[in-house]
Amino acid sequence: MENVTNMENEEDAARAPRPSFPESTRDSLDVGGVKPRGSIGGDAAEGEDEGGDGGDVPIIGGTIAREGGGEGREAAPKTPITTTIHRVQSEKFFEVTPINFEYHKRREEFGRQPQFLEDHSRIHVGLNEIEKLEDNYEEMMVVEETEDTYIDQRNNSTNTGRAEFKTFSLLHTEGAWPKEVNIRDAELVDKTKKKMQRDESFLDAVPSMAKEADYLVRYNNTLPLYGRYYRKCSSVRQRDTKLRANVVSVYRCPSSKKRPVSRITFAPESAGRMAVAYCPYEYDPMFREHSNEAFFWEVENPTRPEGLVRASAQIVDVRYHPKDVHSICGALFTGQVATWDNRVGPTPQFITPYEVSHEDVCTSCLWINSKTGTEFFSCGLDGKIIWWDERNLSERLDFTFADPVKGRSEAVHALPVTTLDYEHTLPTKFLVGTQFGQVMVFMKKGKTPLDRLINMYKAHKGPVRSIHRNPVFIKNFLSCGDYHIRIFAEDCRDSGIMWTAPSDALYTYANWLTGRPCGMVASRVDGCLEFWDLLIQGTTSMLTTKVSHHPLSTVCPSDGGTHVAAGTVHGDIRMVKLCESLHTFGKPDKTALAACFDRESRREKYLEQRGREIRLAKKQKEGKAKEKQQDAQGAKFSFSEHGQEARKTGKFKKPEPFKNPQLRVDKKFFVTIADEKKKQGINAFPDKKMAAKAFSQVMYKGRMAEKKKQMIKSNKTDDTTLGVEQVMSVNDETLKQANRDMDEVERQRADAIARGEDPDNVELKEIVAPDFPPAKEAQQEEPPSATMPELDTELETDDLESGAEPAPEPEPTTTEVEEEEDGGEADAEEDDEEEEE
Amino acid sequence: MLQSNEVEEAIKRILSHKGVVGLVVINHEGIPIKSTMENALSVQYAAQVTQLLDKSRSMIKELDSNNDLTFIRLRTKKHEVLVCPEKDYAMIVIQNPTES
Repeated sequence: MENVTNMENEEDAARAPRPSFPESTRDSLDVGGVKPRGSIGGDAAEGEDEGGDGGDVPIIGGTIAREGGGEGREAAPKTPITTTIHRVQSEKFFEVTPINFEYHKRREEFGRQPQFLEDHSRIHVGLNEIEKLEDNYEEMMVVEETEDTYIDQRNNSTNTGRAEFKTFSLLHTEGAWPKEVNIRDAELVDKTKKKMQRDESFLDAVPSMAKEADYLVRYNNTLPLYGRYYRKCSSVRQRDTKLRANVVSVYRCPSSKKRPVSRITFAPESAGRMAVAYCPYEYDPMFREHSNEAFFWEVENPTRPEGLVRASAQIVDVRYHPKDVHSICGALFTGQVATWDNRVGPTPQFITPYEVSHEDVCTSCLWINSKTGTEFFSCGLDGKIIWWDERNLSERLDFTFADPVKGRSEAVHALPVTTLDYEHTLPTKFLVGTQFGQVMVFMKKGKTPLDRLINMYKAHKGPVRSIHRNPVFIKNFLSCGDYHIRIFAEDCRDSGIMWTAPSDALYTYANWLTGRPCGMVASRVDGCLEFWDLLIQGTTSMLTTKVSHHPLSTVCPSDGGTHVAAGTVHGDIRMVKLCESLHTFGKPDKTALAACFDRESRREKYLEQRGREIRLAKKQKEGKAKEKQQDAQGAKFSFSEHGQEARKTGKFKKPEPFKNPQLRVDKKFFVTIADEKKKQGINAFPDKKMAAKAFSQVMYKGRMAEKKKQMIKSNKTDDTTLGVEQVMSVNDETLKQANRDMDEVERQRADAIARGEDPDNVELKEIVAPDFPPAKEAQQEEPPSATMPELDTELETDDLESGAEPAPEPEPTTTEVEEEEDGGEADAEEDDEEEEE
Repeated sequence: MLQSNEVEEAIKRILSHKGVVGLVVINHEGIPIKSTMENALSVQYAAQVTQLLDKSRSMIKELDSNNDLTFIRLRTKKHEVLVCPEKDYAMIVIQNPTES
């Protein structure tokens, strides 16, 4: 049968790609691709479908199930294929002449449920895995978790108690009228109103309310409570009242032995350097061990000095030349003067020989304005002022003595000079300060060599520590001494025009502030710097700052005025920075300062004049009486303008021991003591034992009486004094001792008289002097005696001022004399009072 | 009627002062009983002031029960409103205080 044979080939034929349908004669038709018509068992439909398509659907890969029964699902390649009646393709479709129909059904299919649905899913395309492509692909991680930053929340709705809100606006056009009143009815409204007005409470309430309202209304009318005040006021600038002066750097002396700083000077033209000398002229027991060097410091570099100069003796003062930073002159402890050139080396260029130098310590040297620019002058404790020329230091150019008496210039009377001041703008004059507190104004070149002194002031009780002219008002200068700073005007010849109240500690140096000429800075023994300002506060210091724990020995304001260098006794220098207000000086300040000086000097002049007038009047009256006395005394007198000074200095000699009862200072002291004693008895003194001892002899009164006696006898000469050269400071111990000595003398004298000898020629027995410091130091301590030498005629003043003994009647003339003297010396006395109090 | 005279007098006195613009006397319900200004304005004042009075009084009382309101002064740009409450009534005075 041709069909059968076809069948055998069917499988093979199925595998091969099918040529197009119409062409080939299909003996066997495969199930998948071509389905013959009329296939049994469901194939018919398939066949029809597919056959109808007419397309060739190649079957790739595996075989397909071709069952007659449409077992397309089953891939059973090997299952035998049941034959179906195939029609030969070549036969036309419409010609169907089946010979026989064989209906086949497999046995296993029997009993199955007939399938009416034609849901036969067929795999049309099946793609197998290609192993080698697997590498190109990655299994995807499928994550089935979700992440969220929110907290798990749950939205839940609940019911709460309901609050009903309703917003509506209220238009209150008319008040709460009673219901019956119709507000539109004007008449009714009025009537109601009137009725209400007659209400009892209304009538009560209104007056009280009215009272209250009345009060408020009137209040408002009187007092404008609300309003913009200070509309026109501009903001007031706050004055920086807080003054500050802070230590910015410390320049420590590199040598191990600490020497006190004696002088600091800044280099001219703001070179930023300072010259420091380390040897004060005062006695210092260690001074031989100190080195003979003076250092130059660079202000910027406080670690070590920039340079130094050396000499054969200690250098007391060292100064830069104002025009040449390299020229330096210095004063030596031996009285010599030396010059250096900074560039050459530390040894002096020239040094003066001993013969022409000062005989005592040379305390200061200053450069002068001169044509050659090589001149300078120096002063010393021997009282000489010598001018030198730098080029030839072996001889003096000129010299003079610091003799406080005008018209006389003698070595014997010269006072030791401690400070010198010279202002380049005023080259003809210079200022001198002595060790005993006098300040003298000298002319550089007088008409005669003796006529150099212009004026002398008794400024201080101790050595004058510094004198400086005001940088702006050169006619005024300050001097600094014991506990005061005094300001002088050249025109006022009797005394200073202003002075500070006594300070707590001794001053060691004072100078004007370069940045603020109305201000002064002073260094004190307690390590504080005091800043004064004449325009702001005249009575107290503006600022007192403790700069160091050691006493300050000197201070120097820097060129710019912003800093102040303070030197301590320990050898270090503290650079203090000043606050803004201490170095600003404006135009109104200048005029104010001028006015200030002017005012004070005028006041001084008035006082002077008045004093002079009184004096003159009295003098004319008592001229004769005085002369009598003076002749008896044998003292010289001159009624000059400076009569006072002349008289006073007439008997001036070497420093007299304070026991000299003619001394005003002691007198004051005694006076107060006596007063105290009288008033309070022994209780006036804190140390009762001592006081009791001291006064047991009624010493004071005795002394006073004695003075009087002496006055009458007029035999008081120098010999009666103990001749103790040493000056003691005023304190109870020494006072006691001194009086004991005095007693001793008196006793000896009495003995001598008893024996019939001349009391004056008695040899004073050796009196054991208490332990006093050596002469040198003693000389430099405050010797009040030297400052106020007085004459015997002034004895009466003691009586007068004690108050205990009123001026006795028979001496009216002398009293008046004293009065006018007092008047003239009012200022100087005030100083004493200040000091005593 | 002496009392009413008194009332009139009192009101006149207040009005005589410098700067007083107007005066309203209201009762506790807010009805302007006596007024020197026109009705509409008085009613407005009355309405506003009543509320303010109530609020202030309650506030003071709440803070300190012993305390009580004496008067209210409202300073505004143009003038000052003074309110003096008393039992059941209140007096409102509008004044232009003198400015320096």
